[in-house]
Amino acid sequence: MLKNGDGTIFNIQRYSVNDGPGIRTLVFFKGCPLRCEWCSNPESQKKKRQIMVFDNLCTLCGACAAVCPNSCITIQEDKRIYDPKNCDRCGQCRDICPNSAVKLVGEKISIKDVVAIAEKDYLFYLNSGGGVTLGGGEPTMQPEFSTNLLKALKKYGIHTAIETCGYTEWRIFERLLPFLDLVLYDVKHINPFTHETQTGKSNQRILRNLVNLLGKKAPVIIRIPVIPGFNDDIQAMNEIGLFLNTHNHNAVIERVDLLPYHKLGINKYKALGLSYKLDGSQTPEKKRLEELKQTLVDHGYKTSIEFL
Amino acid sequence: MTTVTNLKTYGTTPRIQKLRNQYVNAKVSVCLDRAIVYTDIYKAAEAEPMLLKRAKAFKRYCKIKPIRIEEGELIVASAGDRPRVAVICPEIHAGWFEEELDTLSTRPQDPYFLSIENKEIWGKQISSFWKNKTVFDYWFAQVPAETKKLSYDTGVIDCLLKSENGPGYQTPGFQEIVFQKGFDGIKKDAKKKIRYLDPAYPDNYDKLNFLKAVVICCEGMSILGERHARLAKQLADEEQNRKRKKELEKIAEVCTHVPANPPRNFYEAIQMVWFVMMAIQIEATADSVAVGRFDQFMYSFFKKDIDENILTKDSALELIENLWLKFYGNIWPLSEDGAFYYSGYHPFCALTIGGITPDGKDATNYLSYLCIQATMNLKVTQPSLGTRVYKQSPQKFLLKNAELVREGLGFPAFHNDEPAIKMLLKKGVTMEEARNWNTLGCVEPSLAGKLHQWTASGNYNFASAVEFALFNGKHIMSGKQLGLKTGDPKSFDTFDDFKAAVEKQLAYIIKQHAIATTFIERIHRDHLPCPLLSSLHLDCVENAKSLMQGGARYNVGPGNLGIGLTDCANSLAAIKQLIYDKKAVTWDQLLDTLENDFSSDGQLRKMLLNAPKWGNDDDYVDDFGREITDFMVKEHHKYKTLTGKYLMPALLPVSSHVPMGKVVWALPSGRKAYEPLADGISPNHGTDKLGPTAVLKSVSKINHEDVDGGTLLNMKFDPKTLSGEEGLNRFTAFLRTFVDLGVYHVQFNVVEKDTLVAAQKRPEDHRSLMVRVAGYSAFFVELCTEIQDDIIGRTSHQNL
Repeated sequence: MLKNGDGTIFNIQRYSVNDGPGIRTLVFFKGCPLRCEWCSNPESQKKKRQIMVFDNLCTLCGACAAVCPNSCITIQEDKRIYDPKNCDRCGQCRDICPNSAVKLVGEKISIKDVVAIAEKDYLFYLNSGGGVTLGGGEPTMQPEFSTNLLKALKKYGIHTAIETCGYTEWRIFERLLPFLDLVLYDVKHINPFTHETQTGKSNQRILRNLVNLLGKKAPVIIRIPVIPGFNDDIQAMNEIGLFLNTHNHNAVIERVDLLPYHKLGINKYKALGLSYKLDGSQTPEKKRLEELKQTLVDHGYKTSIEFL
Repeated sequence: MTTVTNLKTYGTTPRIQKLRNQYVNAKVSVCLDRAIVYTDIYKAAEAEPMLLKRAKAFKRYCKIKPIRIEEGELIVASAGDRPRVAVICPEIHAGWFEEELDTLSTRPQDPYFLSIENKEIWGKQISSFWKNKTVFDYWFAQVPAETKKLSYDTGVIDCLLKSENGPGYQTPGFQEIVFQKGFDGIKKDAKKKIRYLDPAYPDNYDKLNFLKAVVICCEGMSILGERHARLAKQLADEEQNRKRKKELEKIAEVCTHVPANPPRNFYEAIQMVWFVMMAIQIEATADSVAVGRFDQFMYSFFKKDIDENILTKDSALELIENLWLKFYGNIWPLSEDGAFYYSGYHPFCALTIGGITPDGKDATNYLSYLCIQATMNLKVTQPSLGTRVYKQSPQKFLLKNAELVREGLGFPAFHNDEPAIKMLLKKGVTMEEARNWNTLGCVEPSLAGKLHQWTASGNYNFASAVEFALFNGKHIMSGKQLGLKTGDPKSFDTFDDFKAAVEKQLAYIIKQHAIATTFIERIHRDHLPCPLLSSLHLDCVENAKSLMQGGARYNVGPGNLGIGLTDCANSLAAIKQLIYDKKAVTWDQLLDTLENDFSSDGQLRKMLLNAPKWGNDDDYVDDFGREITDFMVKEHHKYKTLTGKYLMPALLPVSSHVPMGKVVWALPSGRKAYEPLADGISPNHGTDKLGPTAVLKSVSKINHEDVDGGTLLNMKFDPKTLSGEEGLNRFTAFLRTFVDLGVYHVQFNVVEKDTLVAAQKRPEDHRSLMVRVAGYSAFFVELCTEIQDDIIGRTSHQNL
């Protein structure tokens, strides 16, 4: 039964270790206002349910084509062709696939159910200083669900964090902040025009929210995806460093994390039938990353490179 | 992460590095010297009691065996004519050895080189005497027909472990006996006892034989020491290099003193440990003879020598590394079948560090760290390092262990003090003794020098119980009626009817195994008594009884290993959900698709695979894991064994889940015929989809302390999760939660390149292999080939 107050997520991952301190449970929200070309979770972008097909697991047995009520799937020689036009995401193809090559992403879930799953690893949180992180996707796109979920987690004394792109209204952050122990905040570029070219949105709102956030008390970790040709230069990092310095009056920034570009999501683009624009890009070299790191260190920030 | 420029040297000193190379590159060969001696003595003394025959053969071998001192080594002696040879015991091995004479040198898994001369010697001097006289022959001739039907060549019950092997499974009492008395002291005790036993009483006859045998074995031990001392002295006299000359003189001094006398210092204690471990293998080669709590019983020597400036920490580490190589040089002779399943030549020599002291204080000391360091430095497969952890284990100690885990060697295995202590208390030992427990074999809790407990006389198959319940007792592959007739499941109105049928089948298998076990015990008692091993246990000399006559202070087991608990639980969950709860599948459909091994209905198999699976923190199936375990424990407790209080329950597979899988037909869990069963209490491959915390939660639902033969959990980790200070600390938090959850044992495979390559080739078998990435994680099989290649490359880089 779907109820008001339920959220839309596409995964809950236990033993998550790159999304805040300790051992954490990561709730992946579905839906994001940005369309970053390097996004490694492209299934998180649209809020609605989606079908993913992993060709490398598909044996072309044809079971899905036979079961599909809307004839969206055809098998041709060595290829499986999926036409999403008439697809209503009923999931029958997923249910019948003997190789688990078909996945349905996006499900409604209640606060109670998320908390029940989160609570299962309570001892791990206690021993590791971990907790629950809302990520995705963009948790602030589901403000009511996010707020109530955080509230419910805090009631049990669970450490909470959020991973956000920052693109939302400030009043939503104001609702969330009382229940947050840590904010992992993405900064991609200081120049609004450059920002828009590869994320689809200007960064004005993002930076404004960041300024507001830095005026509050919650600890913040700044996360910078390092994208070749986009922001993998000293100048871009320098601008970020300067911006942070201008606004970090309360010294709430704990750390800056550089997240080097990687192609791990590329197969998911294929599985979703999307094209991948950064095909020619490569992970930045270590030497370059060290230089970029040094730039931020010079601005006074503890900086780490989060390799894959 | 080590850099590419890092040279591949193992061991702290050039001497150890050289020895390691020599050991690792040595071609494993067969040594027949013991076989010749034992054959001669058995012939010459054929009419004498078995105890004396064996003691005399042992002593004679000590007297004439070839001995040598390797260049540079500080710790000397080998069970055979050199390190890394398989010492053949004809009374145990003659059957398979004879069959494999032509293939032994060339077989694919673990070949032993057998020279043409040795082959001739075997044919002329050894072979014929042992026809129908091996341990296996006796067992096979004596075990009752009904039991034999189920326990030979079916895979439902497997008894080869003890019928083709020495007893093993003991921890000698270093602290309790050896370091107190030396072998002269043990001999003195035995002689004293002999004087009190009046041979006019018939009951005393066996006792006197045992004590005389102990005396003879102790004499053999002293001879070993003297001979090595003489050889060292002789080499010293010839040695030109002054430094080596001094070392050889030192070896001579050490071997003049031990093993006849109690060691006086760290060096002598280490040499003593090796003499004892080696001699046990001479008496009867076997797996799972444990060293015990090395960091505890060695520490007083270490501290005293350091305080007196006769030892440095570096020289202590060098001696430890030399000892580690000696353990590594010890080879376990196995048949081709055996070697396929216990590959790698090694007899599970467990060594324990950490935990608490008998009076409840933290037990970690400097030696605990040196043991880890030696294992890290040498990167060899023995000794099998086991770390005891408890709620207050020092963080520094856990971090050092985490560093070792990161090396990807699979060491150490982690053992949880609390359930282990409860297991020991269940065996009837005192609280103080319980706190002093040590690891043995794969994972078993043992008590040095006091507890007689074979972990296993063999394995039995949980999955067969499911198969029998499904097909009214029929074993599909052989077509034979091996199980009970519990009825056609189509007639079962409720799920509980089916579960009851599984339990009946399981109870029957356990009972037949109990019968087979007592026969193996009898054969060992009558045909393979081990006076030397017995003398290393309280109170064998005092009671004038060997271990197999019940001489030890505490007697438990043997245990029998239940294999495939997970497959059983998963099968029960699938049937409950699909046939009884959801009514989505009928018995006809299920039995039909099982009978043809899913070939007719891939869709039904998928439904079965999607049913709840063990390892995902889901009570629907986890409850079955606990209930079946509880049932199994109760059934075991119904049977008394020849020497022990009860047939001990244990849930560890060694590698039997592979052969045992080969005899089980398709299961309702979705597992196909012939495929391996789950190992220990681990999930079936690829069915744990929620990560390591969920696995730990699932296995915590078993009452581990009831399974006092031990439970085994294998987990895989990506090296990434252990990188950096943060990774190491997170790992220790994971370990502490393992302790809090009351899980008994866990060991970690840090995923290596090979696994990833295999996953790429057969993604369907590696659905749950996770690759950890920043801000993102993925199932490896869901990544494209290009990226998979990338990760494979990166991982191998990390492993440099």
